[in-house]
Amino acid sequence: MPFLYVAVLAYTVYLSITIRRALSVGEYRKQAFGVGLIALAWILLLLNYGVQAVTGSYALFSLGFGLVMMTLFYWIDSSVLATRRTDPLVRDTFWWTRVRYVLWALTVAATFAAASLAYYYQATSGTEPLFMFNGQYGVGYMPSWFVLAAGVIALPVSASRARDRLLRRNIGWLGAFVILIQIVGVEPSSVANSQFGIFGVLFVASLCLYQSARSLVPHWIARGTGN
Amino acid sequence: MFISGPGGAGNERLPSSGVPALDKLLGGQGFPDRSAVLIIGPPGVNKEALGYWFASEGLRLGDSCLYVTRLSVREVEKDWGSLGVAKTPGSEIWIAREGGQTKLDVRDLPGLLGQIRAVLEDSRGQVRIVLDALSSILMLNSLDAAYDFVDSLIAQAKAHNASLLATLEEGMHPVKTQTAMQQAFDGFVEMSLFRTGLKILPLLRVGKMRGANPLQGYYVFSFGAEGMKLEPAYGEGEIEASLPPFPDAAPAALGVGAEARAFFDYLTKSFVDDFKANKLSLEQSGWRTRTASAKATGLTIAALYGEGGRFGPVMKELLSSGLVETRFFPGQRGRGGEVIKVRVAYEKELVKRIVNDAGRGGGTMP
Repeated sequence: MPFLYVAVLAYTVYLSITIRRALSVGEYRKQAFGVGLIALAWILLLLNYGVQAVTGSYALFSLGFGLVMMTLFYWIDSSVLATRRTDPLVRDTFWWTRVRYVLWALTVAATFAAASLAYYYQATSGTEPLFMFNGQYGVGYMPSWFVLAAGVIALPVSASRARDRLLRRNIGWLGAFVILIQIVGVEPSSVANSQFGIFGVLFVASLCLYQSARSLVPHWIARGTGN
Repeated sequence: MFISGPGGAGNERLPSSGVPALDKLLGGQGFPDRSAVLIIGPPGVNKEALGYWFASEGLRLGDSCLYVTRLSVREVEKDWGSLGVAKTPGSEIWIAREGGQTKLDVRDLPGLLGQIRAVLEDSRGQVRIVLDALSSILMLNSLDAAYDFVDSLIAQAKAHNASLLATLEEGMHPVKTQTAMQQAFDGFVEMSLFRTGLKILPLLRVGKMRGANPLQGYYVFSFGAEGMKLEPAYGEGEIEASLPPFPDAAPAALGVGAEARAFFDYLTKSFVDDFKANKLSLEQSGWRTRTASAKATGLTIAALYGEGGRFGPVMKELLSSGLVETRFFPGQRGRGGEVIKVRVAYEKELVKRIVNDAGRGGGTMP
């Protein structure tokens, strides 16, 4: 099951980069690339769990998690900017063109703050900072607070303003991916257990991510069918 | 932007698209004279780039150029610069959301039309208009108002020796709206992404172009330092063969088959002939019996007549699409009986536009 999950994500990375190359406008190129980055990040996140398991360093795990969140925020950011272009009134949802800089800064700062805190606690107390990773919204997952808040608040509003069906589908599928990921959780212990159920959900989530990339291409042609 | 240029009236050169490869595709010289051309494509394929090159080429040649955009002037200039489109300096007037001399309000169509008219009346020589707000106009106004605006804009442009290039977002409007726009304009160019096998290709094709005989087929487009490049998609193995055939976008876009379209076209012509040549009233124009229609179009009787006095498949198709209407005409069989006649459903906005387009050759339909 993990291999299938990784295979789908790897193909999503390839597809996203190919779509990015075919597009010409910056915002849309970034959005397509963002889907690929997320897929790549979730492949690396598996590796990250391995690194944590081997080194026992929660600081490294926290740093890796923050980088994954940054890829998600990169996609959210480019999606909100892209939807603005397809809004007939070209509205700047929640002053996004300015607020995005603050959110970027917060996400980066939260990543390093969480990693530093984990390192400090582990170095001084000699025990694992499990309290930081208690539940999905523990201090260790601080970077996700801003990313998910931005996604939950800004994306639906900007998507509702955009009239482009492709963008809406893209956002919808990626939203499904994030929801599924939230369901299984990202605690190292749960994923490290390699439970079949968890990887089953992750596999479905990876399919959602693939659909998200696929939805950016309006015309799909089966070779040799003539239509 | 509006720049009064030295191009004098009577200058017969055709308006180049600003993209040599596209000019070549169109027959060598560019768009037809005083034409209204629509660029259709999904967001992200940079159909606006054709507008930038169109305007840029106009400025270079000394034409007068008017740029209507829903974006700010700064955003357009940034996009313009990122493509490396050369911009000849001049006195610029924009109708834009921000930063232009005139602020664009897509909900005030009479006002927008007045602003464009004022610019056209002040201009001399050949004029180029780029309208990068058509999708917004269609989404934020009633369809009737938007169609009237487009009709008036095209009429004004032609009256003032202007060429119009507009962009339309694919995937944001109902198919019928997109079809109506394709019908209203003299030509349209499609740009879109196609996926075949493991490849994703940005493809362009010329859908129709008034008076021109464009090269058919799909072309892979790309943007580079030298501008826009077009290469035939034939080089891509089976791609050309596997692409959907687009001999004429109208039948597919109307959502009816080839036979139904042929019948519809015949009825359209009949309507125009009755109204314009035979001077019949709108109420009386266009009615034809199915037998006469079958004879004129070469369709089989069975296509129009079904069993037991019902309608045949072609009739059913057009009736269910709302494109035609029927009426009983009493006392026309010589035995006091009734005969059913059919004509285009002129009251439908889409049909009205198609009929108007067909009748545009010798004056306007009501």
